[in-house]
Amino acid sequence: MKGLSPSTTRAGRAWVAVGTSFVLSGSAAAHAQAQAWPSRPIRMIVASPPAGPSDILARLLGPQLTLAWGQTVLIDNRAGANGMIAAELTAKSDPDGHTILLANAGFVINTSLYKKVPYDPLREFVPISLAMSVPNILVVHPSVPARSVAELVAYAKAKPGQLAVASAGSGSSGHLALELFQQLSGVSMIHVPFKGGGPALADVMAGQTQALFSIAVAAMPQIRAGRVRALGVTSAKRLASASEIPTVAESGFPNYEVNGWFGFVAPVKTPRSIVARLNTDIVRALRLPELQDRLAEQGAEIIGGTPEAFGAYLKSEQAKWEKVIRQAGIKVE
Amino acid sequence: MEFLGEVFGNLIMGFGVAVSLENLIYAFIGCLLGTLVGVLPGIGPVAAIALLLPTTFALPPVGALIMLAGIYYGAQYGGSTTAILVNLPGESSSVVTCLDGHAMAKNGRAGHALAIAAIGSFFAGTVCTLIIAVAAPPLAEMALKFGAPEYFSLMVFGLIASAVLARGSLIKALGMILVGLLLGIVGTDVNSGMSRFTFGMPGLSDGIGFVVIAMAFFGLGEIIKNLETPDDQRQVFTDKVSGLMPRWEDIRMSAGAIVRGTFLGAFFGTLPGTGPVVAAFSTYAMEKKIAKDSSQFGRGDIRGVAGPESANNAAAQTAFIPTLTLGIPGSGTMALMLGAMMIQGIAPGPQVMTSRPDLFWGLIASMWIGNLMLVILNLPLIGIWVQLLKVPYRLLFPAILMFMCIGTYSLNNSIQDPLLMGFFGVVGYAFMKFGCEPAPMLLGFILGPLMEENLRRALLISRGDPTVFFTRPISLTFLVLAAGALLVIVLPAVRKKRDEAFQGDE
Repeated sequence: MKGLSPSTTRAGRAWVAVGTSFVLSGSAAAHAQAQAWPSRPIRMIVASPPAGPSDILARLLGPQLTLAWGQTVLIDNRAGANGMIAAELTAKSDPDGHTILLANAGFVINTSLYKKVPYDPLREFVPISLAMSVPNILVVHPSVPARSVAELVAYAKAKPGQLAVASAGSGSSGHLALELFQQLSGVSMIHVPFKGGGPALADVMAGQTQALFSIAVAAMPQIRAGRVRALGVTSAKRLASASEIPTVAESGFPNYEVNGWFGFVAPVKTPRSIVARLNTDIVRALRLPELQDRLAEQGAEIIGGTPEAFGAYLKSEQAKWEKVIRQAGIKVE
Repeated sequence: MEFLGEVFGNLIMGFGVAVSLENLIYAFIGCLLGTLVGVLPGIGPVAAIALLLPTTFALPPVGALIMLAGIYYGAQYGGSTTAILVNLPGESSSVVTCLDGHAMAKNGRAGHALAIAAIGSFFAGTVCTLIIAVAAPPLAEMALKFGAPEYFSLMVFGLIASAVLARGSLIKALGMILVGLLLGIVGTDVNSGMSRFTFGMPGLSDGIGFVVIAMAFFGLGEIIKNLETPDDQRQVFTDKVSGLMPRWEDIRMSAGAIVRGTFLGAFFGTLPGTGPVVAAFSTYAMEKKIAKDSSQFGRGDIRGVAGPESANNAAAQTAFIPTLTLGIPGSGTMALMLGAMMIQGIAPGPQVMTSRPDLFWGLIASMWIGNLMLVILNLPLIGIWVQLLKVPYRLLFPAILMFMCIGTYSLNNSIQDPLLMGFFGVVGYAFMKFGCEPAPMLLGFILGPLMEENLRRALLISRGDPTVFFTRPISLTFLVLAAGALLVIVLPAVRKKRDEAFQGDE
């Protein structure tokens, strides 16, 4: 049972919470805390369930950051409502650098998808660093005659509104990738949403639906086994781990780029000195070779950058998807 | 012959991996923890595996997966204990065990019920280990044949067959199924992405958890009912417990149910999206229907324990088939297992079988070893569990309540789930007072959303053409079976010959 650090368990967390409330009630201003940061365990809120995509990143980073900060990093899974529960919780946490959120692409897209979003991704948060970019791969069932993106477009044009394209759900990254693809190529296909990427991929493997924009990590083993055929990756550059797959952009749609991503943000009032420290240590942990290897295998690209660069990225992503979503008329209420 | 030789060789290799001292210890830890989380109401394998996931970083991949798998199927063993003793599903899949298991405990036969549950589970575990070893890849292919139309037709069949779950009036049972369907649609609609009945609460956008509903209707409702009677008159259990080990007659009576439950469970486990709960419900419904004398069902019929318990363990085991052979998780727990593989640097997918045979066969062999450990662990424990019944209720129920709250809280780390459980507990108590039983509602709650999702998906893909349900052979088969089941149920009702023994008070 080695490696079971008591504070990463739920019971441990409860005790920490008890300790935390003492610290809060007894301590002075956030200013004083800023100097002593980190004075208690860091709570990393993750918007996915355990073993979900961002959770794996969090669990790989956690021990490294614990080492760097001398305080345990607690991973707090708050899945649900497309990440809105996790974001709202973070926004309402004490802005003292002891609560950070590992946000995903939905963080800035939700504002266009939902009528009521309980947080403002740009005003209520300060960016720390983009961590990882996870492209989608456009895959088709082997029975689909198309062998390239262009052929798929031609095939879909010949059969308008008949090609069924699965997705992990309404408003998921794969769904948005499909919408942008339809807008740029002018073809129309049927969107078939599933509850999660696994069932969607299984359906395409079985040939019930014909195509899917799947996250790379799930799709790669199936592509290698010949169960689905890869037509293109949605990132601007080809994947290092599968460079034989062309990008959708180079296949005739130069403006096409869709990336899922994970990045760290904190409540907006977090002192800038702490944000800088968080950034330095997170970026350093992300650059560790063992971590890079582990995640590159999954088709992810590690990106550690400045808070400013991440802030600009958040803004541009929000604007980009707002336009796509408005044009597609997607409304997830 | 050559094929069987190969399987045999692989199994030998798997046992070679699994019986190393290290892996035996991991299997034992997993089974022990699994039994524990199984016994504790509300705390399920998902929470337990999530909790232990970080610790598996430090373990070798095979050991890590053996331990996590042990938690999963161990919980299926443990779950029946709470169901039988205190009418509280320790695990969501043991909901069905409450029906007859707890009735048996009330008759002073808790020991028999616990023993038959363990024996049935062990039999199912053994058979399913063999099934996985021999037929995992073809079964996974079969599971892929199930598209939206097949799932829909299967659910129609299941829902109709579930009407036999009712003990009281058929109208009330149908009403409860409808309540279940309604509760099931709370949350974000998969097809349109619209929120339904969430009242603007983000916590409801992913629907109401099955565990919350099951805890509320079975556990909380039962506790309130027990508290109704004054302390000195309350007799939750009989004091005399007649023997712990099952009688020969019990085994003889249960054998058929165990075998049928095993195979039905194995079938449902293989299908992604259904799993142990549906398996247990279906087996119960089937056993009740085919029994020559079904008058004791709901009042402590041992077949009502043996069948579902075998089924849920079988399904828990075969759920590994799509997970291991295709890399497709069939349930939340299986998604966690895949996550654990990824953390270990193993890409889950069709290659795992060939690229990591030690892992694949080692895990399979460890399942059988784990099942053996569990039955050895559980049979002697029965004596201790039965002692638990002697704990005064005023001490027992606050402890149970506390565990239920911890368990439901651990689902999403949210206070909303315990609160919802409280609310539905009161609702459940009211239903109990009106003689409306929760079992049909729970089935509606599980099957309803699956049915709707797949109906709409099937029609979406077929461009609105409903003939798709009749032109696909598997789908057609289930619809024909559903029509048959409907006749069987309706005819006696029309002739007003529906077993009057069912109209009992209870």
